[in-house]
Amino acid sequence: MSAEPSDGASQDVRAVVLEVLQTFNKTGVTLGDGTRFTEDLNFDSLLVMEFIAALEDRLDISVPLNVLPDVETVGQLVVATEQIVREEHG
Amino acid sequence: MADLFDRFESLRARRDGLVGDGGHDPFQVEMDEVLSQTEAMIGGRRTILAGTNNYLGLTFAPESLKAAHDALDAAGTGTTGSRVANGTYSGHKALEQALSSFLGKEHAIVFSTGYLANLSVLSTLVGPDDYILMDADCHASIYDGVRMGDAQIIRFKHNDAADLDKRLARLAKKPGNKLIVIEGIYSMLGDKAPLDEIVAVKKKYDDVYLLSDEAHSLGVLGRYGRGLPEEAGLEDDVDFIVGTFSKSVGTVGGFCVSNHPQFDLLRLACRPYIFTASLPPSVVASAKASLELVEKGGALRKRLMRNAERLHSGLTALGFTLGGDVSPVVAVVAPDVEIGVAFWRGLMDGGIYVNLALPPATPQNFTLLRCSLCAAHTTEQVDRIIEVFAEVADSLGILPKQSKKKTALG
Ligand SMILES: Cc1ncc(COP(=O)(O)O)c(C=O)c1O
Repeated sequence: MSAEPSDGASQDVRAVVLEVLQTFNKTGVTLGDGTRFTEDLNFDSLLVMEFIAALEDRLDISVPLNVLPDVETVGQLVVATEQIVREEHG
Repeated sequence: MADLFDRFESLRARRDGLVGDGGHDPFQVEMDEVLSQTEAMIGGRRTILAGTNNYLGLTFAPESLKAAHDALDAAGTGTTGSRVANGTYSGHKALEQALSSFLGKEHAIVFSTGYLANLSVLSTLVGPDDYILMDADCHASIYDGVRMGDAQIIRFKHNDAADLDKRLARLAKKPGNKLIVIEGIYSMLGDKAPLDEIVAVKKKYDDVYLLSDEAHSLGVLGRYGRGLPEEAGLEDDVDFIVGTFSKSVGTVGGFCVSNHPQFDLLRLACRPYIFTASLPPSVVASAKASLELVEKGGALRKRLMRNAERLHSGLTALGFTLGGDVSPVVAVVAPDVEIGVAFWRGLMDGGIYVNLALPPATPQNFTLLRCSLCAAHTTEQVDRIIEVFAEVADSLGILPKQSKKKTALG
């Protein structure tokens, strides 16, 4: 189901985050590090959960719910995700 | 000037959109008079109750009523205090002993509700270096409980032991305890956890514990009503069982049982145990009396399952899409929220009460007409429920058999 993250650490996490996020992008804003989930993408808690589950599948990682309250922007999610990929596949 | 309640604007808009045009308000149902376990007067109409979680119909059991009356007269209307202060009476201890021997675990703690039991246990049992692995479809009280605590919270896909396995494997090299959290029967769709598969995964790894919330399966599953672990023959593999008295036990209150030798320490650690008043003596007494009836309730469970099968197959034959296999929770999936609300109102007008369950409280964004059955429902009542479902679907023009489009409610 998920891409094989064989070279997890070197994989371009940002590209994957943006690619998965694009499938949830209903407002059509251009996605960048500064894009905000609530204000720019109109994400509610349900959509956040669905998006995170899709990202987990794609990268074969677990994103603890604990990181979510501190994540407002795409850039912040990329940083958090990179760290998880390093920890789980590094 | 900003109003304090401006932040609820989207909630208000959503509510007004759903209930604004008159008719029964799904969120303000008032039972004018409760006639029995299965009937009430609502808005002047005699209504069959098919959404009360009163699985065994024990709310009017003579033994439980008598126990409650006696305790009320003997010990008063309330304890006016916390379990750790003046709120532990002999009845509370007797109830804990009864739970412990019924469920075959050394230790039992009674909380004021099942919600508070989950908040208590999930927020304190695991700490910052530990991990919770919870089924994604878990109840709000489980979500709230884990959020109150410090552990890392990881969700696995609903009823997917392979997904749980993958996630545990990635954590295997990390120190810290892991607590798997599941439910015996999931409240919204009525589907069961694959306990054998989950236990098998649990056993592959070190420092993994299993907690099951048996809210909807206590009294319902197992020969003696001890829930999914009894039915699956895996009681020794479930380390913590959480439950409630607000469903098959027919009153209010919550509990957790375990064999862990230090379990009682939770009494000094759980804030939702310490900083709230204990259950009133009458409730405690009726819970204890009802637990005995649960254990002896083989005949009630048979009737409950017979009713569940009848409703499930009747609605299936009409072409409705149901949320799961045969279980005392029979959830009809509505195509969208608007039809769901209209359908629910049609049922009310036809004298049938079920739960209207909306996202985000539902799995997969489903809009559900959630029925729960009672051992006390008669065959005629179950048939009447099916009949009204058919009438309402017909009047809304969405009876799958008649409209060729198989999408409507099917
Ligand atoms: C799975 C589950 N856990 C816990 C609870 C909470 O139980 P209580 O009504 O005792 O607070 C419920 C019921 O709402 C439930 O469905």
